[in-house]
Amino acid sequence: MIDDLLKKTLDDDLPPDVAAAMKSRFDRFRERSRRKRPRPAFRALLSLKTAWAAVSVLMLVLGGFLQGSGSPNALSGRIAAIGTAQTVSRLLTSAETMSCSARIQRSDGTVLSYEIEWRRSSGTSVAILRPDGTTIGKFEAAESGGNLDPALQDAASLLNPSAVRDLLSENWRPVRTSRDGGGEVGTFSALAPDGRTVLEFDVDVGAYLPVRIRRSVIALPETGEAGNRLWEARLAF
Amino acid sequence: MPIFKWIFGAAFVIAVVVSGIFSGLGHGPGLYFLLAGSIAAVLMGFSGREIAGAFGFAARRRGTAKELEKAAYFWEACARNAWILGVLGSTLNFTIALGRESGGIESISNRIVQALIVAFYGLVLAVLCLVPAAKVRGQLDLSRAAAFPRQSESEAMIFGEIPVAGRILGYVLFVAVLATAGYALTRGTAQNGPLSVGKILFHWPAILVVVGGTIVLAVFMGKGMGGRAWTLGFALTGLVSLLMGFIQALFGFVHRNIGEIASALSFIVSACSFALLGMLTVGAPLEDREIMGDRRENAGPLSRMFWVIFPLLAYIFLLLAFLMVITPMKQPG
Repeated sequence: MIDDLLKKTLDDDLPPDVAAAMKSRFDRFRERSRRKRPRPAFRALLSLKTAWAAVSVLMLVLGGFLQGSGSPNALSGRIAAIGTAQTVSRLLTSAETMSCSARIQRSDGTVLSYEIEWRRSSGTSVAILRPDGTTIGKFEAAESGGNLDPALQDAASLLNPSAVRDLLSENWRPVRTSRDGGGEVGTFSALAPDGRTVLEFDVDVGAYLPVRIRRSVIALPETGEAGNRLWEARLAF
Repeated sequence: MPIFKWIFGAAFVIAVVVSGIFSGLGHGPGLYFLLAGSIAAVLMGFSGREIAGAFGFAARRRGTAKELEKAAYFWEACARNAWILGVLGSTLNFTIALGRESGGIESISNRIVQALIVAFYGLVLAVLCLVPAAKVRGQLDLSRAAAFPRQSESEAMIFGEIPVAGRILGYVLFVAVLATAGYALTRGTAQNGPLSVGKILFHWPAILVVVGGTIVLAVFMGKGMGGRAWTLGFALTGLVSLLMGFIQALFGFVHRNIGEIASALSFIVSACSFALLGMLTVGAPLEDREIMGDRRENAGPLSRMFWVIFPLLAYIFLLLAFLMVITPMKQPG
């Protein structure tokens, strides 16, 4: 009896008009849910947006990494050269002594050694020596180098630390810094307006003190002009 | 007699320029960059008709409240462009001054200080542009109070969409101004060495951070933000980059490492340049079009704030960078 009652209650033989109405409602529901699904264009846009976001995050991270890793670039190299020149130029004035020497072949063919010694307390003295080490003469040089032997004119810039400092301030341009192998001594170079004469400084990396200065002339292969390194100065602080 | 006002105005501008030249504040390429760049920047965001209309309203032509509102916005945008261009000119000039391979420390310092003058020109031009803006706003207040005048012209005839050709012309002109000003600054310097302008200006870490950060922010802010997203994006990433570079520079001082300081300073200068460039060529024109095309009432308050504050901060950081470049490292102990 219960079975009969259930059969009657849950009878699926609907009248045709009710069945059609239900079917149409089911179709509308299906259509709506189909419309709600992302369309291909929208999905493309979404994926484009995601791609943009991914690429830009990658750019951001890469930029931060490159900056953090201290990758070399032209601008920072140039700023480092200027900053080092400024520091070296200032620290030069705290030097106590500066000694400079070179062997020079004079116009008459004789080779003489010149030793220039600057002391904060006593100024600059120049000693001229024969190749065997005997002294020919010794004299005091003016700060400006005005009374120098013509053979010593190239060394005028190394007579005292102030002369070197003046060069850096006025027209010798800072060109390069380097720190080979991460050692304690780095190098810093300044180029003369002639584009050939170079002052190369060995700089104590920790204190930025210029401990040695070399003055050299760059070779010009295109004109066949040879380069040379004439003078080397050592500073003590 | 409006003609006399214009004559007095022109005489004032000439007097400012001449006194600047005689007091050592003359900088030809900087002035050219600012004036020609301002014209290009205006063309990026406004149509010729809108520009002519804004000049007309500044000369007391009558208009509807909406027309006056937009004319006032045009003059404010000109002031904004002048200010941003001035600081941008200073940062680009600063970079070129650092990179030029000539002269000793004194000569380099002199060139860097000269580079800072362009921002001063930008400020003067911005003030000059704010005069007509204030004048048009005054007219607008009067028209609202007296409920006059009648519609003089259809709004759609003056303000509306800008033709694409007009915008392209603005961008082409801006690139030409950048190139010619750069040429004027580097004339006589070989450009095939390690310190060519291209190598000096394109500091990739800064470009990647500014562009990447801006796109991320713009994407996450969504389309609804429109041009504001780009203005905020460039300003915020620029600001973050400035702080990042500044902190790195301070670490460099602590570690007594000139290389680290130099790397940080190059990052600061380049980030300033590219953030300002983005604000000027992307964010600002988009916002201008939204306002002139009636898609927005007015510029966003944050955009307005950053248009004023970010160039100011960039300039302050430029001064700090200059001080850091010329400050020698102290001897320890």
